[in-house]
Amino acid sequence: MVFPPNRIFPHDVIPISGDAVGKVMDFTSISKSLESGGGGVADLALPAENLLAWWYAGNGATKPEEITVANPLLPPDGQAVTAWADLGVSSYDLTKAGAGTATWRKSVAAANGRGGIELNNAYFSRNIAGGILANLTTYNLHIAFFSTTTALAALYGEGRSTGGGVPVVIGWLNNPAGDIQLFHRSDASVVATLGGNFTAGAMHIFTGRRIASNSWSILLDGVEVATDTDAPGTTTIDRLAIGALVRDTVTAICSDTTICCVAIYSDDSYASVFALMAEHYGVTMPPFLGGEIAYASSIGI
Amino acid sequence: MTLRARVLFPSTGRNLPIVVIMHGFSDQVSNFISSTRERFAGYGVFALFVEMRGRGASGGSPDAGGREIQDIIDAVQYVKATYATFVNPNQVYIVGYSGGGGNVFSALSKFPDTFNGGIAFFGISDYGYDETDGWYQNGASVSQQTSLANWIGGTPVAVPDRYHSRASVLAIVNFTGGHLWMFHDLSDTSVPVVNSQNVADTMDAAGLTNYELNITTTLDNPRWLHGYPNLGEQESLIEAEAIFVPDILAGTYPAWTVPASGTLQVAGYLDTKRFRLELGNLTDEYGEVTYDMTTREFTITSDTGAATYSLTLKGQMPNTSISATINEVEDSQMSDGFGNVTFTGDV
Repeated sequence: MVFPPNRIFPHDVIPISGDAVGKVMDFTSISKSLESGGGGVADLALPAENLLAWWYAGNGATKPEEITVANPLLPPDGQAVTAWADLGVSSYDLTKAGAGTATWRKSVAAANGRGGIELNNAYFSRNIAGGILANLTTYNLHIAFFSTTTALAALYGEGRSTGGGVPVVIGWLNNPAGDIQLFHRSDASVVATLGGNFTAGAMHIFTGRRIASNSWSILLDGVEVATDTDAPGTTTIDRLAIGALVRDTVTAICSDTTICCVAIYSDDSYASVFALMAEHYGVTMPPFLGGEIAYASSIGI
Repeated sequence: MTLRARVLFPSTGRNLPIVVIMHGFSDQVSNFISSTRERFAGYGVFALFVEMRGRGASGGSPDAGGREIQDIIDAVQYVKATYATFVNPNQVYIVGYSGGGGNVFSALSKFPDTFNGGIAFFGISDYGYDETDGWYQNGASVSQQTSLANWIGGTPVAVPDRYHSRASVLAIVNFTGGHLWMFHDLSDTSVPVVNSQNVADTMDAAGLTNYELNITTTLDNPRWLHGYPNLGEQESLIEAEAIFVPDILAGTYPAWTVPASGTLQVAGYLDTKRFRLELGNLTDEYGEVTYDMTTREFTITSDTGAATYSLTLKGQMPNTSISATINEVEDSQMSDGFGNVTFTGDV
């Protein structure tokens, strides 16, 4: 058998060595504006495309009488925060609620010196028909937080303010202690995903991905910790909250938990958003990012 | 219809080449074990494991060398849009094993200038067009023959045009840029080595030298034995990665575009950076197009009898009346806001 030059028979295998092994392009710092560390104004530049809502403890932590998005002055360190403005396009501005306190912390050591809002038996909420995430079949929910406790709490919720406790939509609980959970629950009480662990005293970034109507992935610090294939239906929603679970009665209110950022996207840009947030808050990234993706066929069956 | 894939890439990587990795004929992405997925990502690429339609969690009905090739491109487009922070959109490769190797041949035939390179491990280049060398006739098990008949819509005798439209062994000549690596073992009975040899013969006949055919025998170590490059399975296949991965990382093969004029094969459908041409229902006709983008003259022929066509020219003036001459008949259509204009007719 005779082979032309480009038919190799047999072939001398060339081992991969040197630069070819595990070669990774240099990390390119994402552009940021203004100061680094110490909280401050909009120094975290998230992608604007498909950004549904963004509560950021920089110029998003506001006292309405003195601070607006257009005038992003910050309250003095340690001052009570009475409202939290949405920096996305939807203006889902929230109002402080609950018997406890919401305190602006200009520089949270565990959060790479970035700002945060420390919640102690307090939360932020607003009435909103339909919620933000409740009826979406694709979304990413990112929450950057720091907590000194693993006691029961909730970081983000959409639910019904009346008519029973079933329609909790998006809850994120540390119940049992240290175990994170993502709920997307319909009127039929389907729990879509749950799992994972976090450490008290360390900064974390939680990501909940709804990849498709029946596909879920939750990540802690960029590592997938649980998946699920349940497909809950639509739910009647009239309120959302940061720092609490909203039902007919508000429960699972945060204590000793500092929330730095909540960002919600209607697409699956989780990796890009996570990378930006991880750099900003000094959260160690895992060696790899990834997971399942779902996409539409352009030609159908 | 929703399709599924898995991605994995270095978290600190930027400008990563996209490497599509395709599973076998009736398998799914999970056939690549986690260590294999991490090995690919660890090379410093954006690894995209596409799950073929009708397999695993992907929706739709299975196909073989037909519609699922468009699904691969849809996945690549999704990645380019969703992971723009991490990928180099101008470096796209496709690797496949067995039926996945068949996807490599089909993808390079139907979307030639989408890919900088393809790597086919014991790929199926003909599902049943050739009475002797077609996989249906030579290599497929009885159950695989049944799957082919079910997925394609009949046996090669019953629906020869459908197998013709999937014959990448004929249309591989469209891949005039980039580079094709083929790996096969002479003793392979699951997909006989003639599948790769015929591709090489076709490219030789067309004067193309942008390929390597790497065949092993019992005298070689390692050997390219049929299976997956997983630890505990066909581990020798991992050594083949040393042959093509360095070129991927080095960007040896730049992005390219089919010539402004020439002749290309149409295995059901053909999509280039210059135009897209669909015959019939995408999976039941085979033809040829001779074209000149400068004069917008096209001659479209069908080897499988009368067929409808849909020709979309790209890169035209947006929202403008565009004229083209197709089979010596002049036609004018309005382009859309993206500069695409479509002509339809019969050949």
